[in-house]
Amino acid sequence: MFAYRIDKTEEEAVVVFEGDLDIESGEVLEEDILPVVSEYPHVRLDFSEVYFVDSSGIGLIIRTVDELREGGRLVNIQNVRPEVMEVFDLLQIRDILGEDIFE
Amino acid sequence: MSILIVDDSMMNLAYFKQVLSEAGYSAIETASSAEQALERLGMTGGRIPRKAAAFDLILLDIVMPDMDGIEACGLIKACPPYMDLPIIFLTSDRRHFKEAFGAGGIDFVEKGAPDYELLTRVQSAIRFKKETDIRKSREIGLLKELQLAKKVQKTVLPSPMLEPKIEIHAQYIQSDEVSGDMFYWTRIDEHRCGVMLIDVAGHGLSSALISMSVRSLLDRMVKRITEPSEVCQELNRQMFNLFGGSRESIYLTAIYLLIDQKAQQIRYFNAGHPPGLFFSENQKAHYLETTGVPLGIRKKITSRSGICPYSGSGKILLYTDGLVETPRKSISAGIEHLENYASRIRYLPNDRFTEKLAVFGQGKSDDVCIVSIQLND
Repeated sequence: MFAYRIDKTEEEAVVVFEGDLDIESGEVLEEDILPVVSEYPHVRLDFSEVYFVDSSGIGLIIRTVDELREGGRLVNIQNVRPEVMEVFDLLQIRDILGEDIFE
Repeated sequence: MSILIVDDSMMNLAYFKQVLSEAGYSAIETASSAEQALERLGMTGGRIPRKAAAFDLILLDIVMPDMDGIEACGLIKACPPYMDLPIIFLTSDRRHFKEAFGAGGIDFVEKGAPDYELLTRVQSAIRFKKETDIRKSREIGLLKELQLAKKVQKTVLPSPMLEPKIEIHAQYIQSDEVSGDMFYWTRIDEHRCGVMLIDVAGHGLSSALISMSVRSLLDRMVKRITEPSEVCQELNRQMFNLFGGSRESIYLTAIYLLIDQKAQQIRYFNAGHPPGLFFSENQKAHYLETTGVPLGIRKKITSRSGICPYSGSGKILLYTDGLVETPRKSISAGIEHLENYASRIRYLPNDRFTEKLAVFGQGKSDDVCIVSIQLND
């Protein structure tokens, strides 16, 4: 199961993901979420309701962050649960996206 | 298009046959009882025919002496070759409907209804049957292709290395027919071996294609370069050259060990892969931990070789994340659990050790690959 909610203010969009982030979530992220949030200067990806991210999900996150940054957006990932952070750490997300991704 | 009409009334049989013939259906057979119909289907005496008789549709009367249409329908639908054969009931009594549909009929035609009703229902049932047949044959073809692909993928896997001072065994468990997991080992020279385990992100066919293309580069790469940190750079460069243009995020995690038996030293890189577990003598497992990011994501990466000296005998366990990952649970707890189990059985012969671990990994939905290296004194 995968769902999301976008909280918007003038300056930023917060995407609150819910459920598992895997290959199935790709289309939603690409087609529904990206076009909406790329209008905002600051995008926060909130993982408080994400309990599992698999290897495809990691790929999706990297691509999403890369694309938003290429468009000049500031991107942060926040509220990552410990079990998900373990997977992020194993795959060196900090090295790939930069330490400031979690600020 | 072949249709079997079953009715105990000769008049009804003649009527339906005539309507269908006039509409252009030429291959029409008739049976005047359920028993006779079963005979046509090769099902006499409860037999299951090896090959289905070539019917695309059965029109089946419900009320007949001896076996009725509902019982016959139940028997036909329970017979594997006829699972997808549509049956339309011919009836003049709506009271039979519930039971008739329960037995597996897809439609009904009321006797005495206008011809176009019969023809429309027959036409849509036959169209449905044709579509099902096409889809089924595609599925079977695809499955055969995948099974062949699996065989091809397995042929490039190395057979166990069995030398007095070093033994290498592996287990390969795929959740799909093919997967992106791949292991590789080779003797580089008299006293050095290279061992690699890679896991391409994602599952199934696309991951398998990527792992096979990477596999074709390995032999040359590890023999020409040898130093793990440089092999890592080269593998990243190749991944990026091959797949960097794709909009999909294609990457792999890998662990590579260069085992030097003369210097009694292991040099390795670990690109985002779960830690290798090194059990030496009676000591606690030493983790061969990450030395850099997964490969294929970034054009430029920094890499370094990890170094692990050893003396005497020991075992090194490499595995893909499928062995330690349970969705929504901590992966480090999974690694610890594996470490405890592997430590308990570490003195088993190397082949038994990997077999036991494969059983440990059973029931996981992900692909699992296990490589164990036994170093002897």
